[in-house]
Amino acid sequence: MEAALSSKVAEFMTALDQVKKYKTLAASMTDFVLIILGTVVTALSVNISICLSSLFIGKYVGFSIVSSSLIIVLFPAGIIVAVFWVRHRIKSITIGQWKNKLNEGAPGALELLQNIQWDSIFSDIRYAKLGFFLYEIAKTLVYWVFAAALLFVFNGLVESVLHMTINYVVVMLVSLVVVLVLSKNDLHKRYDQMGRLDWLLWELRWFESEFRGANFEA
Amino acid sequence: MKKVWLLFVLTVIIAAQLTFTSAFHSASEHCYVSGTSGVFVSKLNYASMRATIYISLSYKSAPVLLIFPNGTQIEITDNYTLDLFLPRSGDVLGSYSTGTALGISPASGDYQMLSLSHNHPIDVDVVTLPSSFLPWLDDGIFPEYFENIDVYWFKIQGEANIHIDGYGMAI
Repeated sequence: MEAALSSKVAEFMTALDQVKKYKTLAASMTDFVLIILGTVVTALSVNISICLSSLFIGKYVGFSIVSSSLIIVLFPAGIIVAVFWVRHRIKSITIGQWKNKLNEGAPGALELLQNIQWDSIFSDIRYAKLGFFLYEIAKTLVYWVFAAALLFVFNGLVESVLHMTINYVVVMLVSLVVVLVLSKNDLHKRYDQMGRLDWLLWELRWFESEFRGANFEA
Repeated sequence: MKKVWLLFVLTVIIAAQLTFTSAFHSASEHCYVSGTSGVFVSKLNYASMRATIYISLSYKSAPVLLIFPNGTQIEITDNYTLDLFLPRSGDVLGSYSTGTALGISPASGDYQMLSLSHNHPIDVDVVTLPSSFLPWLDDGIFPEYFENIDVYWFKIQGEANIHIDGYGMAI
């Protein structure tokens, strides 16, 4: 009986750790967008500096070549930094601190359950769901812009070599399709995780109601 | 909360940077000339402009003559590059700032030269009929045009390939 209780509580605490991760992921969305915007500001600043120096100092550099090079170098760098920063934040979360307490047996398990702030957990799950959704949209948008920029550069090459131009609307649509196809598995995974969060929320509500109504005897 | 303000500030900075970037313009021209031609670099006076003129001789044995408005003549026997900067020299108000195009054509030319407007404040051209074009510039037949533009020009005699890269900022 005690082993079964410990096992159930361990399962439950693992789910709560997962919520903690989701919440951090949601909170990281702001960091992600900040890093991307910072990259754009940097790229534009460098671009403007080159334009001004080309004009007033006199070292003429092809405007389009410099802009394209900046997009090719700076923008991916920004995306990589943003993604790694989010991963770093998620990895730095301390989880499993409850394991020592759970090793004490049934009393430890009950103490863990009694110390849970239920309202805060429900709020965290809702926040995680919203942030999760926004994070995925932001990430897809950034990848889309990056793919479109690469396609525009490719379009420029096609134009200069073959004297043919691809319609801008087609470039945008093709880049969107490419991004959606490439991130299909990721989107599917995130969708499943959001479904699991929904499920977890309902299970926790049920558990909370049962837990509050139960009388435990030591 | 601080991050939200940072997001706001970055968004404002990007909007300002994009607006500033739209002030930069470029123009280029590439053509083959023979006989007497005119090379023109022009801008609305509120723009600053830099132009690089590359002259490649078709035949090294046949020198090309550059004749400047002040009478100076340079004979070139090898490829030649001319870098020039036209500074901002005034403001354009009224219709010019609302996008009205200023166009000047050679008297017997087929197409317009010195096409300047608020959306296209710098221009580079090579005119193959300078004799019909230059009186417009020298005689000041349309002084209202030349109050608002700066034109740098010279004549070129001989066979050459001319490539002009113009780059400017209009604020």
